[in-house]
This record gives sequence, structure tokens and C-alpha cells, in this order.
Amino acid sequence: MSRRTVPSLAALAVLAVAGLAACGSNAGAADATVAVDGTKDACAPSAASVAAGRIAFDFKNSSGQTSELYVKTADDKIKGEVENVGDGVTRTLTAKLAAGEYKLVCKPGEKGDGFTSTFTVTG
Amino acid sequence: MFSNFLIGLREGLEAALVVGIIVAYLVRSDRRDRLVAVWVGVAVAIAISLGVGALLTFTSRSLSFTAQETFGGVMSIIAVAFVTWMVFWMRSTSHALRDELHGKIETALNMGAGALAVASLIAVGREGLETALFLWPTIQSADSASAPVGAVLGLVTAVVIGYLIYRRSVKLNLAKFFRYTGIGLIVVAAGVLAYGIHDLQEADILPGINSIAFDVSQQVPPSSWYGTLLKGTVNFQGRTTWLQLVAWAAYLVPVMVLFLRPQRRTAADAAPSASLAASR
Repeated sequence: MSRRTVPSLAALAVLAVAGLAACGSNAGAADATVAVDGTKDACAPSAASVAAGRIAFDFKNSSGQTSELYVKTADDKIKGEVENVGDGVTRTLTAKLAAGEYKLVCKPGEKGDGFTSTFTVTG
Repeated sequence: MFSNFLIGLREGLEAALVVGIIVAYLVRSDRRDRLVAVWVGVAVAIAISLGVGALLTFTSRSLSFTAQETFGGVMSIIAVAFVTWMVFWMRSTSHALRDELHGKIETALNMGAGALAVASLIAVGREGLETALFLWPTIQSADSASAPVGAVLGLVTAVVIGYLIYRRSVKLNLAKFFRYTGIGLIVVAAGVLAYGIHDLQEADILPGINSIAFDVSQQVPPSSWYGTLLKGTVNFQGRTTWLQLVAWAAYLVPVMVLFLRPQRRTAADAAPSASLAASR
């Protein structure tokens, strides 16, 4: 191995981690936690509305296939996404949400438009 | 278990293909001593991915959606640049290799071996974080113990396929080796570019996330075995935006034409960097 390879690999690695840490990691607990049950034909949050802040959606995929969860604004801007959620697996999506109307979209089978629930964040 | 197996396979396949080809190249050019650097690159990428993934899964730290997609998008575009460079660099050394001009191979490899290690680091690291963010929650929360087993078996299968590609390609004659691996890597890179564009569209850095060129995700579901193979190798996405489609074609067509054009056997052979510059 060339003498320069190891230091440059290490430098790249440090850069990548520093970049990740610097640009937008959120520390601390969420302001609210909402369980989302993704079945084969529904996307059901445990609460229809919560107060604004950092919200953790605990997405439980019980659809029988691989699924994903999106949190979108009413005009379809993506605020958060977890993909590759295997059957029977729970994964948390954390998003900072201001007051407004949102959509929770579960996509069992990772195809088509999936199933949508509306979700309200109060100010 | 099977759904987790397919996710693991899909996430690991592309990196296994790229690393398999890099290893085959070094073996073909008789530089097994350079393999250590490649394996270090792979190990570093796996360690960072698992570490950051664990931090995000097991602590209350989280990565904002925009940060995660931007990271994925930028890494993808860097990966495309590296793989493209690699394809043309390998091509520029191919004559020296075929004619067994060992002096020239030596010069070229001294220049490129470090970069091959970085290329393998990026190939693995690009999908590594997403894979770790799939793996840890599966281990942590799955209903049944078979889910994490399926996930790991999927990754292992990807590695085995990478190994088989390596075994197959080292047996090809050199002309075919460079042609087939080059074509393969360019098609993979075009898919990675489209994938990166999609990440940046999701992060709202690039526009047009909702202008869909075609949606065949019902006909080719990503969770089917064929959807898995298409996504895992050439990054085929059932639902593709116009911007992705245009970027994919705008990369694939000119790069493939440049790669397939007949190679001049002139002074450029003596200076691989010069022929590389000319090929751009």
C-alpha cells in the first residue's frame, strides 16, 4: 500500500463524519412521539394532531412486505422519509414540523402512491 | 425474512460489483500488493457506516432529512466521478497491460492505486449509511429473530455475487475484460447519477421531484426479486422523474460513445494521463 493511501483515506473518513455531524444532526429527545401503524391497507397514526416541534414517528411496518414512510406537506414537499423498513421492523422518522397540515404516506411494497393519512400540527 | 433478505441484497450488490471489478483489475495487472489498500478502503467505509448508523439508531441523535438526502446525493455524484475516471484510466493502461510493457504499467499503477482504494471506499460508503440505518433497526426491533438473519444473508449473497463476478472476469482475455467491465461500470455509474439526482430532488435542492417521467413501480415492484436485481445493479427506479431520466441519458450516451470509440495506439500509450485527458 502506498504511504499516502492510508492518511488520505483517514482524512476522507474524518471529513465525511465531520460533514455529517455539522450539517444538521439534531440532538436531544423529540418533543412528541407518534406511533404509526403501517398495515397492508392503511397508514394509521396513534394521534391525529400534535403540537409543533421535533416529532418522532415510530413507524411499525406490519404490512407483510418491505415498506416506507414519508411525511409530506399538504403540497407534497417531503419533510422526512424512512425507507427499507422490513416486515415486522420499527424505524423512527424524526422531523421538525411547524404548525400546519401534513400527510403521512405509507408505501407497502415500495410502489405506487401508497396509503395516506392527514396529520395536523398545531402552533 | 425474505423481504429483509431482498433489502440486504439490493443495498449490497452495487458496491460488491464495483469492488469485485477493482480487485479483478489489480489481479489481472499483477498488482496483488495493492489489494491491501482496497480492503482498507472497504473496511473504513463499513466501520464508518456502522458507527454513524448505530449513533443515529441507538441514541436520540438524528440526522435531518435534508442532511441525509444531501449526503446521499453528493456521495453519489462523487462516486460517479470516481468510477468514470476509473473506467478511462483502466482503459488507458490496457495496451501497456496487453503488450506486457511492465514499466508503463508500473508508472500508471503508482499513480492510480491510491485512487482505486478511495474509489472502493466511496463505492461502499455511498450506500453504507443507508444500509446501516436499515440493519440496526432490524436487529433492534424486528418481531422475529429471522429478520436480521435475512438482512445479513442478503448482504452476504451480494458479496458472493461480487466474488463470482470477480472469478468470471479474471478469466476473460484482457481485451474482453476491459470492454465488459468498462461497459458495466458506465451503466452502473449512470444509475448512481440518477439515484443521486433523486436524493437531491427529495432534499429540494434540485426541482421536479413530482414531475414523473414514468411509474412502473406496480409492474416492477422494488420488493420483487427482479426489481431487487434491477435496483441493486443499475439503480433502476420504478418511479423516475424527468430530471433523473435526462441526467441518466446525458451521462450514459456520450460517456459510452467515448469509451467504445477505437483506441489510438500512439504516444498516448506511453503517457496514460495524456490519453486520459484526451479522452475527456
